[in-house]
Formats: sequence, C-alpha cells, structure tokens
Amino acid sequence: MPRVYRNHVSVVVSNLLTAVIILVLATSGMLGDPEVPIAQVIVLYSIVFLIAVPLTIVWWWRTTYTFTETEINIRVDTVFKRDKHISYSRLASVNVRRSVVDVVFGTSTLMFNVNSSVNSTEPEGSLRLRRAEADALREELSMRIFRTEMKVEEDLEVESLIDVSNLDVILHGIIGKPTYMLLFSSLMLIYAVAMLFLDNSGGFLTALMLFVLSELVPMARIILRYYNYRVYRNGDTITVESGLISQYRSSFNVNRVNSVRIRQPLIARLIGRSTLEAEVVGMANGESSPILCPLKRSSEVLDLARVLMPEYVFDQDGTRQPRSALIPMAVTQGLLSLAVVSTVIVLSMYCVPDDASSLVHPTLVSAGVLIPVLLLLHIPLAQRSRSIAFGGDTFMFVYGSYDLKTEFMLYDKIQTVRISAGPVQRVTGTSKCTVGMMSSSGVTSVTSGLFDRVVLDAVSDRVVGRIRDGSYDYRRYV
Amino acid sequence: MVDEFQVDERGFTSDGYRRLDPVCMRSMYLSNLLYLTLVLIASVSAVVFSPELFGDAESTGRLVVSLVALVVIVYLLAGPIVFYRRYRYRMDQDKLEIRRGIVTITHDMVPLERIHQVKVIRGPINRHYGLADVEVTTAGGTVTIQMLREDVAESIASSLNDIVVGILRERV
Repeated sequence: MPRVYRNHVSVVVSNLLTAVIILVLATSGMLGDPEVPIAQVIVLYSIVFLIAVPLTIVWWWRTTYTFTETEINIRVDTVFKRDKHISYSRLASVNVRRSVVDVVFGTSTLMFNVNSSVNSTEPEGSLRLRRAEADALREELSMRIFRTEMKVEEDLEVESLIDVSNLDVILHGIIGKPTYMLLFSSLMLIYAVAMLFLDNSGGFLTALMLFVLSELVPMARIILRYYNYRVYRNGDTITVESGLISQYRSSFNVNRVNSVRIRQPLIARLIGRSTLEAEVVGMANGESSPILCPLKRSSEVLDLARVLMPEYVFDQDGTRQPRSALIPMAVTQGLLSLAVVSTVIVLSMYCVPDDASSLVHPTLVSAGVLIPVLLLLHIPLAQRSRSIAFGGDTFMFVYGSYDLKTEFMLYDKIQTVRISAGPVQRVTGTSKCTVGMMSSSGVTSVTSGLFDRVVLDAVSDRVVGRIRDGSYDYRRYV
Repeated sequence: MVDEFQVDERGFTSDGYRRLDPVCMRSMYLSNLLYLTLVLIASVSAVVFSPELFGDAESTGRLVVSLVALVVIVYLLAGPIVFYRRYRYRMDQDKLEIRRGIVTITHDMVPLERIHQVKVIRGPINRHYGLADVEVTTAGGTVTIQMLREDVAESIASSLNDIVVGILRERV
C-alpha cells in the first residue's frame, strides 16, 4: 500500500527565512549609497516577500513523496509540474542531516542519493519529517538498499572504530587541506601583512579577503562538519556521524565504494599523520569525497582502513618507480623551471614600471628562485614515494610528491584505462597509467607514476581478465 | 624488429589493429587550415603592432611571437601525417582499444561491459569527406574513435550497441 508523505511545515519557515536573509543582505549592501531610495527598496522587497509566502505554502502543500513497493515518487503539482521516480534499486544511500532548524522543530531531513555520476553532488530528493518518523523511514529504506536491518537506536550504541578527538578535527581543519591551498592562503596572509605595513589599504583588504575565503572559511566548515566524529561498520554498511551545529549521519554499503584513499598532505606527513577517504558513488552530501577518518597517526589510519575496508586494503610492497623515470621527470621539471625563470627575467626587465613598489622586484626574484627549487625538489620526492601494486580484487597506486596519496581501487569499478607516454618517456621506456571511474562528485581519474609499460599493462589485462573469466559479477555491486 | 604500425593487405597490424582511411588527412588539413589562418592573422598582427604591444622589448617580443607561430605552423602541417600514421583501433569480444598521438602516444582501453551509450557524430568538415566519429560513453568518461569512414562508423556503433543491449538483456 503506497504511503504519501509531505515535508514538515518547518520547510516553509526555513525557505522563507532564507528569503528574508537574502533580502536583508541585498538591502544592507545599498545602505551606504545615498542615491538609492532605501524606503522604496524596503517596500518593494516586502511586497516580494509577501508574494513569496503563499507561493511557498502552495509549493509545500502540493509537493508529495509517495513510497510504493518499488520506488519513491516525488511529485510537485504547482504551475511548474515535476514528477520524479526513484527506483529503490537505484538508491545508493539515505543520509540524515539535522540543521539548526531541524533541532528547533524536532525534525530530521532525509536525503536520497542515487547511484549515478550525474548530479552526484546534490541529493536526488530530500524530505523533512518529525524525527521519529524520519528515523523509522530511514530504517525501512536502509533495509531495502542494504538488505540488513539497521536500527537508529542500535546505531547510537555502536562504538566508533577509531577514537577521533575534537582536537584531531581542528588539526584536520588547519593542515588537512592540499599543500598548494595552504601555500596560497599563507602567501595571501604574508601579502596582507606587507600591505598593512606599506599603508596600502586596498591591497590589504583584497589579500585579507582571499586569506579568509581560502583558509578560514574552509577550516571553519570542516570543523563544524566533522566535530564529534564517529565511524563504524555494521555488516556491509558503513556509517559516518559528525557535526557541531548541524548533525550528519551518512550510511553507505561497502559495495558502493569505488576506491579507498590514504592522503598525506606535506605538513601532516612531516608529523606522521594521514587522513582516510573513500570514493562512494551516490554520497551527494556536499563534500567531494567522504572522509572516513580525519587526520590521525598514520599507523592508526592504516589499521582503521584494514578493519573498516578489508575488501580494499592489502599488505604488499609495491613495484617502485624505476630509476629511468628520473630522466623524463628531470626534463619536464627542468623545462618548467626554465619557463618560470625566463618569465621572471622578462617581467623584471620590461614589464615593471619605474615607479613600481619597492616590493615588486624582491617578490619577482623570490618567485624566480623559489618556484624552480620547488619544481626540482618534486623529482626526488616523487621518485622516493611512487609505486604500484596488485592485489586479488584491488590494485594500488601511490602517487604525488609533496602531498602523497595511496589509492586502493577495485578492478571491477574501473571504466576506462589510458596508458600514455611522451617523447622523453618513450626513450626511457616508461609510461603512466590513468584510470577513470565514478566518484562521489561524478567522475574521477587517478594517474600513476612512471613505470615500465609491461607493469602498467597489467591494469587493463586484469580489468578485462576478470570480465572474461567470470570473476566480475555485476550483481555484487547492484 | 616488428613495426607495430605496419599493416597487411587487409589493413590489419600484426596484433589485429586497424588503421584509418587516408582521406582523414584531408579532413584534418582542412580544419587545420582554419587554425593556420587564425595563427597567421594573430602573429602578423603581433609583429605589425609590436611597438605598441611590447614597448622596449619589441625585438624580443617579435622573436618570441615568430618562434611560437613557427612551432604551431609546423605542428598544424605535420600533425595530420603523424596522426594518420599512428592512429590504430581494435575491437574484440571484451574490449575496445585505441592507440593514437602526435607528441604523446596514448593507448585507451574500454571494457565493452562498461559501455553505457554509443553515439555517431558527424561534424561539418568530416561530413564533407564522408567521415564520422564514434563516441563511446562509460560511467567514468568517454572515448572516441575519430574520423572513421561513415559506413565503418555505423557498423562499429551498431556492433557496440548490439553488445551493450545483449549485456543488458542477460541482466534482466
């Protein structure tokens, strides 16, 4: 018997609240301008708001969610009609979010994510219900998706597989991002301070704004998102819970995971820490890859990966990048360094006006020295780390140089394989391999280091070999 | 030493790859001619207006523009020949493979089991020469067999569609 749900009425409140915030922000932006008739603008915005109220109520009332034996039917019966059918077999996960509005009204928002690379960063549908009702519906849908019974009350009692303190989460927020982003935000901070000393208020504000947007905002977002972190596995279902203000609970079946990645940004690596991430199709909760463990000691992260994802992680020393790979890397980085130095020389000689700030020449010279040094340092770092290894169901690429990534990928989830070799690589008999697969945010590709062609051919041979000999069974991943 | 690009009288290499029809070079030269015109207009303009563009570095600017234009022109002229000489494709019961490249040589492999969609695309220049591309879409990206003769493209697309439909039927 189909059951019909409608969003909790608090959806109307939160939508109207969002509209009010946007209108207030738009109005406040005009306050300083004496030419704008602010009273008329407020009247106009008030009329817009009053029109929005009945429209939002009609939209809320006429949006229904029908749960049948086989699918969810989301129907919007307003002037703009929409009729969306989501088959349970396409559902990858049903996640729960509890925002401030949810906490105030005692509701939870269910987010339905499908197993697709299209629109993967947004849920296919979301439904806000009273908390108990939402929990019951989530349990029922999880039964249909994961074919195992999941009780929300039981979930709360399950112990996390790793103890992640809030201090770990804060550290993750500060140094967990890729090094190039950290470098950019540090440079912006240095530039802002320099502009402050030079009494250049325009330059100071721009640099400060870029620092806030590139460092402080993402840091705050990560801390708010991953505070009170728990991760556990129940049968084939992995659940991640976290949140400081809004609370998130994401569950996914292990067969939806395409790859597992241990990521070590440079500074984290220097203090022996790593983070564990997974590419899960249909996670669609606003993050690029679900984090299975914020920055912790590398040994603890590896132990967690072995317990949480034993299907993916294997213990095997990989084949290291051969010494012959040094030549193409040296040529590439050498040419890039030469291009940087030439650009700096040309800029210094011809493009810097005579009345330019005294900081311009020292900045250019610093860039002309520092960037080539970083480019050349990439060679030994990459050579020392990169490797490739083959397990039973998965294979591993270790790639990167300053930031290191160890990625375990299922042969059965690989969609395309590309092996490529540039002119210098061909001379030295090396190539690189790029594999394409679905990811949490759509489509992703992972590229190996430089290896002998025969070693890399094993990737496509094993992917096709498993299809040919019947080891690949699509039903495992449905 | 075996030449991996050498083909027999049936048009197959020793490891079963096929090559493109030579008419594809004409299509590439025609499209390159359009790029060449743009490059020449841009370079001549840069040289003519070099005092305004480069100021004190007029001679250096002219030299850089001329060198870049020369490299691009050589690439546009020699590219089609190298592209044709190196382009190979092969399809068997399990996979589709394409080898190609002018500077960097790539070898793409797509398991047929992963294919979601097959498209035949005919651009205006290719259509003029009776050529078409076959674009194969998977959940992890697309791969294209370029500049096939139209009948060959239709035949490959039809075979791929049959295989994909067959796989889907088996699963129902």
